[in-house]
Parts: sequence; C-alpha cells; structure tokens
Amino acid sequence: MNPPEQSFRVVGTRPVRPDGADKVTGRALYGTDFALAGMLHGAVLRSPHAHARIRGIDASRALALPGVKAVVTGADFPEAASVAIAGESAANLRDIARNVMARDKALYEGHAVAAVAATSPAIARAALALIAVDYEVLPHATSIAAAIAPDAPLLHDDLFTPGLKPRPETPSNLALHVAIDTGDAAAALAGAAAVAGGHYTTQPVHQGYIEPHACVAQWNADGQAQIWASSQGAFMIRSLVAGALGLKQADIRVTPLEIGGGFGGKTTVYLEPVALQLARQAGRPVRLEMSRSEVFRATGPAPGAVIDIRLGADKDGMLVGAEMTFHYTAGAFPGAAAHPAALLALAGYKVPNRKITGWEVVCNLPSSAAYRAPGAPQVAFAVESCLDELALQLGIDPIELRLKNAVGPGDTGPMGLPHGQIGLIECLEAARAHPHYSAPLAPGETRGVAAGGWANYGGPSTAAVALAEDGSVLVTTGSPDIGGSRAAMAMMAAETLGVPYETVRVTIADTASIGFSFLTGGSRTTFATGHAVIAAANQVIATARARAAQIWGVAADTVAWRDGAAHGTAGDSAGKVLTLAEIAGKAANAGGPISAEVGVNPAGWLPGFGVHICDCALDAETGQVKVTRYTAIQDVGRAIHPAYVEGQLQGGAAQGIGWALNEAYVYGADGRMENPGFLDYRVPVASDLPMIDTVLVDKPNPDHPYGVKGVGETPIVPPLAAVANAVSRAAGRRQRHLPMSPEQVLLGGDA
Amino acid sequence: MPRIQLMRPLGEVWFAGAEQLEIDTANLFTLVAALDARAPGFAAEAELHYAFAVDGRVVADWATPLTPASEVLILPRISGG
Repeated sequence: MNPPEQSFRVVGTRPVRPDGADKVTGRALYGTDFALAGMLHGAVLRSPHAHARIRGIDASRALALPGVKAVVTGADFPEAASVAIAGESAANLRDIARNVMARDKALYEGHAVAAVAATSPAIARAALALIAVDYEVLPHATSIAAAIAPDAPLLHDDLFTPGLKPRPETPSNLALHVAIDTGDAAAALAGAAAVAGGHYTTQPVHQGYIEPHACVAQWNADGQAQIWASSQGAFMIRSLVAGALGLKQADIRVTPLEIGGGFGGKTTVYLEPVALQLARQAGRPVRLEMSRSEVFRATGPAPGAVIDIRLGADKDGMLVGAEMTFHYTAGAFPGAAAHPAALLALAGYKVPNRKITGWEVVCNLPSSAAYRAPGAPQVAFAVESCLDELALQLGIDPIELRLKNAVGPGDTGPMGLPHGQIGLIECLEAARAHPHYSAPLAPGETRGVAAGGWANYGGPSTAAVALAEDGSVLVTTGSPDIGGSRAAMAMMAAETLGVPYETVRVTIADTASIGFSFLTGGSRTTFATGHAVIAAANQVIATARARAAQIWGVAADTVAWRDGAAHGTAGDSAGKVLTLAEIAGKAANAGGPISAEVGVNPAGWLPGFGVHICDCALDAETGQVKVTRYTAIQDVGRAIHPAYVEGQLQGGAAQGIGWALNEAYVYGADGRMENPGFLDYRVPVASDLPMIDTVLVDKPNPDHPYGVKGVGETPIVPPLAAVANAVSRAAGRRQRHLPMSPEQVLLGGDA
Repeated sequence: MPRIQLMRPLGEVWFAGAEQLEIDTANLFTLVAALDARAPGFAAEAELHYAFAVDGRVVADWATPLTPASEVLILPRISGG
C-alpha cells in the first residue's frame, strides 16, 4: 500500500543552517575551546608496550614536581566487581573502565596507565616523565593470524568464546562466534553455474574526525560533578562515567559541546572518567585533551577483517548459495560488530542457501569502536566484489545482476523478517538510468559499481517544544548535532506547527535540562528524535487549540489548526482566527505558559540502501589510482533538509574511498603503531577527489510522520567495492586486499 | 503457545544451545521475566542489548501482547555508529 501523498511547506527545502554562522566565524565552542577559571591541565601516560603486565607504578617524583596537583592510576578507580550497572551491562562497563585506565595489564601501545593534573600543560607533560612504571613485557599479537594462532598470547584469561556449543573449556582470544545457516550452501555452490570467491582482507581504519577527544571535568564540594565534552551523546557520557566511577547519574551533569566529527568514534568515553578522578583529587576543574597521536593510538578504529567467501549463481545470474567466514579485530576488548556484519552481509539479496560464520578476535590493538555502519563495509567489500566477478563470468551487466537478486518490500530479510518499504530496487534502477552509468569512459579509465545497506535504528529520545511569549518556538533535545539535526528538528517543528522555519530555534541541552536520549548514532536522530519533536509540537498544538476554544467559549474539538493558527469552525467562532503568537501572548491568563516534553521509543525504522558508481584512472607505471567520477545514489525515505542529506552521502563516500585506497593502521614488529598522524595515515583530502554527485531516491517511511529513514551510515558501505571493482578491471586482477596502495595494486593482488 | 526463536549465539549463551523455545506468556515483559527465571541475567542483558520482533516486525514496546500463535524472534540489537 502506498502512503498518502503529502505536501509540505518546510520539509524538503534548504534553509540556512542554524549553526552555520557560529562555525564559520569560529565562535562555536568545541571540546578544546571550553575553559573554566582555575582549570588545571591534564596529561595521560600511555603504555609504550603492546602487551605488558603492570607490576607497579611509582608516582612520587611526579607528585613532588611543583605545579602538579594530582596523579591517578588504575588503583584510583573502583574495582570492576564493584562497578554499578548504570544503563550499561556490567561486562561492558568493566571493559570500558579498564580501557580508560589500565589495571593489571596494558593491552595495547597507547593504553592509559596513569594521568596527571598540573597548573600548565608543560608541567603536566614533564610530570609524566617522572612516573616510573614497572612493566613485565609480554608477547603480543596485533594481527588476527597472530591472535588466533595456537601459541598466541592470551589477552584475557577469563574470555571463553561466547556462542560456541559446548562452551569452551579453555580461554582464547576468540571473543564471539556468530552464525547464520539457512538451507544447504555447500550443495547449492556445488551445483552453481558460476562461483566467485576468494580471500579478502581489510585493515583497521580510524574514523578520522578532525577534532580530538577533549573534555573539562569539575568535582563540586557537595559531591556533584560537571563535565563539558564533545561527544555523540552527553547521556552516554553520564551513564558510562557513573558506571565506571560508581556515582549516581543525577549527580553528574554533562554539557555537550560542539562536535568536530565523530562518525561513531565518539560513542564511548576515554578521557571523561579520568578527568573527573583528577578533578576530584585536585579539587579544581581539569581539562584533558588528546593529541592526534593519542587519538590514533588510544581510540577505536573500525575492525580490520579477514574474509573467506564463495558466492554462486545459476546461468541466468540468480544467486543460489553463499558461504562466508569472517574474522574481525576487536582490539583489546570484545566487541567488533560481528552481529551486524553477519546480518548485513547478504541483506540486499535473495540467497536461498547461506552459511555465514563470524568471529571477533581480541588482539593488542586499541579497542575497536563504531564507525559508520559498523561491521558492514568489510563484508560488503567481499560480497560486492564477488557479484562483480559473477557479472563478468556470466556476461551480465553488474546492475542487472544485482536487480535480478535484490530484495524489495515483503521479501524475507536475513533473520526471516519481511522487509518493509525499502528502496534498493529503486536505487539500482536509478543507477542504471543515471547518465554517469552510460557515459563513455576516457582511455585508461574503468568503472565499478557496488551496492550496500545499513539496518538503521530508532531508540529512546526526548524533545521539548515551548512557546516564547511572542509565539516564537524553542525546541530542546538531548541529541548532539553531528550532521545537521538542529536544522532538521527546527524544520519538522515548523512543519508541524505551521510556522516559518525562522521562528524556531533549537538547543542541544545538558543532561540536567531534558529527559534522556540515546546517543546520536545508528542513523537514528532525525527518525527518533524527530518523532519526539513532532509529538511535542502536536501536544503544543492541542494546548493552543484548547486555549483558543477557551478564549472563544467553544468546544476544543470545534477549533481547527492550520497555517500556524487556530481557526474557529462553530457558532460565533466560525471564521475567527488566533495565531500561535496571539495565543502565546495570552497564555499567562489562559492557564500558563505553553510547552510540552515528550519521550518516545519509536519502532518502524527501516534499513537504508545505496548504490555507488565509481570511475577510476590507474597509472599503470606507478600504480596510483585516481577517482575521476563518483556518484552516490541512496534511498533516503524523505530528506527533511536535502543539502544535509547530500552531505551525508558525500562524506560517507569520501571516507569509504579512503578506506579503499589509502587508510590503514600500520604496526611494526614491536607492536607499536608506525603512522599515528594524518601525514602518514592519509585520509582523502579535497584535491584527491572529484565532486561526488548524489541522487536522493525518495521512498518515504510509512512509520514516520514525514517519511524519514536514517541516512548517515549507508553511504560508507558501497565505496570499498565500488572502487575495488573499478580498479580490478583496470589492473586486470581482482583486488581483494585493502587499502589498494600502488604497491598492492601492481604487485599484491590475487590473480 | 508463543514460539520463541533465538538468533545464534543467544541460544548457546543462555539456553544450552536451544534455538527455539515455547513459552506460554502474555507479553514481552512477562516473556523476558520467564526467560530470566530459566537463565538468570538474561533480563538485564535483554533490556540493554537485544531486539524483539513479534510476528515479523521489530517492536519497541514490551507491552505488546502475545497470542498463542505469536512468533517472537530475539536477536542482538543493532544501533550503529
């Protein structure tokens, strides 16, 4: 059933972004901009060893240095056993607490082992050099192969792989086993007319946000605390700090600062519990901020992957079976998105027989963190590369092959649930019809295409809508704006209330000023927090109609609401109009100020799918790949602010191109990262890329009032294979290993 | 009675490898309580990290009533980055 056609005044327009002026004039306060009077400067001592037992720490010389006001080590944090459950599971909290400050073992180079607060950054850094740590260096494993070898050094002697039957009797570095097994994949592949497959690898890659992690923490004399930090969720910080330090959540007030990029990497804490412990000891506020090197060495990259895959089709190109085994690097602690990887790997296609096995592997790397569509890009790289191979083997156009197999509404998803109003087929059709796909290629250029998707999410959100006395509108949420959500919230409020966009202002509130919202992630904010804003606006309309009815002395149900005003329809009120501003002006004498705060946890989010087309030029002599044209096509439900949505598609594509061509954590034999800076860890810059063209496919979500689907994560899923498929055709050999550095392209690819 | 299906490895982790259970229960709250009685700790984990689909549709409201013909799928919750 098609949803009824909707017409909009505000949704779908491109107004000026509300945070734009502050950002371009430098007034916006980011994590490192915030300061308090009397603030101390902190610094973190990090392990130089990839794996070491901490036999003792002597901080006496550091504490004796003039200007040093506090030193903390693992001994200053609650024992894991006493950690309270505060919105997080005990196991996760224990790991997070041990990641922010090592206890008995340092698990990766860069793992925090102590921290100092001093009156200047220089004194704090000098004090670090005076802390003596007695390490017993242990053998390390920074790769999947090393971590799962029979003689691998164990990171956690209490880790018994979950998901195996029977439960293992000995601990290992295998941190999770997941499996999806439908039909008879082996038999299907044996009978397939064409089979593509191979051994694929990707390296850990960082989210590459420009703004480093930074926070200021203050411990008040009454035992309450305040934290100012840039993150994807102030409530997330509150929950994790309370859990890690054993505090009551209401005793911690977290104020979100502007965020200079997160992409999933700011969905956990690194500095905040440490800064608060330092502030508690010193009795003064403390700022902690990371250098770029610390960001690389101590915060979470996306997992590296090793993937073995076979994908088979019949002679007409219909997929018949798939086998896939993948290992993902979790880093120091469990958690590497193997579940979503298993679920998303073949989510776009009807494959009747599939056997997918996934493993998470702990190893001596920084603990991995979410990165746009966590888990999906790596497996999509393998699947979409195989589809390209099958298209070549069978002589079928790559988009046509995907269209033959693509899932649509009502088709069964990977867990047996029917898909809702998804738009993969429309994206493939839009890609096939796009001028880019049929444009002639210049000599030396090749073209690749790939699809991909992400599950998206809903989750709990709170929003408030209040009327000022003049009828202008204040929207408050607890969702940090990482991709334009202020504008989207203002637009949805304006659309609902029937008022101009310019009369609505949006505030991202601190954790004491609005009810709980889950963090900004999972492409959920415009969907879920948008639901809350619309619901709060509708409550304000209901109150405004009731006030108009009081003023006119008629029943509320005879008052209609349109174009930002109450309209009388009955008796003497017929034809009368009271604008929102007029009603707000009379509010004090009509029952009091008008506002509404609504908490929601909406279901009905839908996955997003996209299709990317990439043209490349390969320099056959040097192996350098230049992306010459790129088009990202995506089902976005309905774009509230299309320019922001286009920006999401462009940003995701740029990051995916970096993943494909340039980016990788490089470790030496000593287990130390060799490229912890943007000079040696090279993300694509503007001059590396062509204009990334976008096509927004509108297939509205019937379970959102304005048709919203999440858009932020899907665009990083297709690029790895879109680029690899183009380069494979240029190089004459299938590219199965990322990044496709010149050396890799010319010498390293599988034949 | 409602049929409960568990995505791997939830069955291995909590219910000795069972992939399917049948439990006579009124809604998802009472289902989670019943599962917690069989596997202590399940409820705390479910509240934070699991998603529930009833008759083919993921639901966020655990008061959703279950009928004898209901099919419930329990799977890890995917949020994202």
